[in-house]
Amino acid sequence: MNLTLYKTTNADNVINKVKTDDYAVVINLKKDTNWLNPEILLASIAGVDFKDYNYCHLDVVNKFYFIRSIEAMGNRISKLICECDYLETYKADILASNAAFRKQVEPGDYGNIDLENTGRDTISNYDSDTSLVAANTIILSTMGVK
Amino acid sequence: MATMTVTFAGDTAKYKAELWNYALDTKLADIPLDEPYVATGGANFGSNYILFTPVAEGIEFDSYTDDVSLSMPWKAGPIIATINAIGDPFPNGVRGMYLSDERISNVTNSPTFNLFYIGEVVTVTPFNRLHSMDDAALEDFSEVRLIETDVDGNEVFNYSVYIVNLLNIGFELPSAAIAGNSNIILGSLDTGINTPLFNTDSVTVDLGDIEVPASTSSLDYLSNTFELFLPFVESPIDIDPTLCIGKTIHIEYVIDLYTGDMTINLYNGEEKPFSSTKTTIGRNIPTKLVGETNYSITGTNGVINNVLTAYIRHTKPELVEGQFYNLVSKNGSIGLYKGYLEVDNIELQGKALADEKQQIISLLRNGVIIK
Repeated sequence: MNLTLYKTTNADNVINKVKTDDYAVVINLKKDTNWLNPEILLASIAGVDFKDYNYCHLDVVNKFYFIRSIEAMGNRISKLICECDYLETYKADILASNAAFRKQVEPGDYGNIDLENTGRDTISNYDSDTSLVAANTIILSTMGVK
Repeated sequence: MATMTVTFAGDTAKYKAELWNYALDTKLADIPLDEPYVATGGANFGSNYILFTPVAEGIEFDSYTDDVSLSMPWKAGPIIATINAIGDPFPNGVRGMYLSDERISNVTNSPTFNLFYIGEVVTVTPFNRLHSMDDAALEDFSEVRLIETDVDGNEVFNYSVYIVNLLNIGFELPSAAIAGNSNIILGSLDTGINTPLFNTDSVTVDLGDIEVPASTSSLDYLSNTFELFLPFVESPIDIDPTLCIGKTIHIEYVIDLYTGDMTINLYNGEEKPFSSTKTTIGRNIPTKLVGETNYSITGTNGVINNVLTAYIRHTKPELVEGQFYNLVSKNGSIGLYKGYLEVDNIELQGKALADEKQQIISLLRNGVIIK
């Protein structure tokens, strides 16, 4: 089976992670391997430092994994402690699913939103095209017409 | 091309005028009445006419005259008569002056038209009068003997009971609200003081139009505030963003001249106001009269805020930047969106195992970022 090592700078909760510097290795795994949290033994390869990689993919199960840690097993063997990345592994299913969710508001959105403000405001004044004329207008109202 | 300069005089404040073409039934231009108007010939010139309309409801026009002798004189008398000569397609109360090509061509002078009006419909009750008082009238009025006494000097009658109110408003009222003059009469006492008379007890004051710029962001409808500040009015009026963004707000005061009670009507292009607010302005001038009639000092209604021009204050809050703030609820396919989102409920499709689906749903609820 093929193990592909990657580097990624994305956070764990990112879907569509950017994966770079892929390096493929042919490996064999034990039959009782836990596919959700596999531990993978790799013999050292000239010019390759496994500590440079933090992400990988196993083609036999088509799953992506975080490399949580790397342990040295003697001089020539390294053990990669992996954990399944469900979001990346099942991203096609996730992105095709219907959901009720909350997303960052942007122009064009409407509805009830609890907007969080910085406390700073931009203020604009729009004046009328007509002004009153100041005057001392006095009105005497009376009863009785002669 | 024949031209003629027309000057308007007389009660021009009671009129507004427009140039119309009868054949096309189209308004061509506004005609200011406070400056000479040059009438010009043209292809449809024979159908042009000046259309006069009242500046306010209730004004009744009489006639116009010209002060020059023309070879083909303008028809004097009721202005409506000239309209009748070519048909009368206009609503009641609208009067016009026909500018025939032949007339223009025969004019050798620049006529002045004196515009007259009969008066205005008086809406003050027959029992009351509303006098416009200047300082001289007030001084004269203060010297009027309002108390009748018997030979022993005992008060027999106090005419001040016929004074309803003396109201002071800090701005000019429209001249159209004044019609004629009258002596101040209290009951059966004619004071002999002659003042202009208001023809209505409810005066409408035009405070003009305010244009509120349009917005390209729906966020402005959610977070922005619009407050209308008005002259002599204590509290600003909040206007819903949907009623004012991209609209022209027209403002009018309707003032009760007896009390200073005032209705503020706001329009945004519709015939009917979208907001009507009641308040009180002005000051009841303390008039402490002799006898048992005492008018208490009531102070100033409304405020003196040094504002003569209405304005709308638009406050736009600065939203917290960052993708984890200001979330809006949505339904639909997650794949249509980018950025941070938190899932409340999801119908998760696919072949993931049950435990895996629970893990995925938990992760989605905690918030994910779609690149």
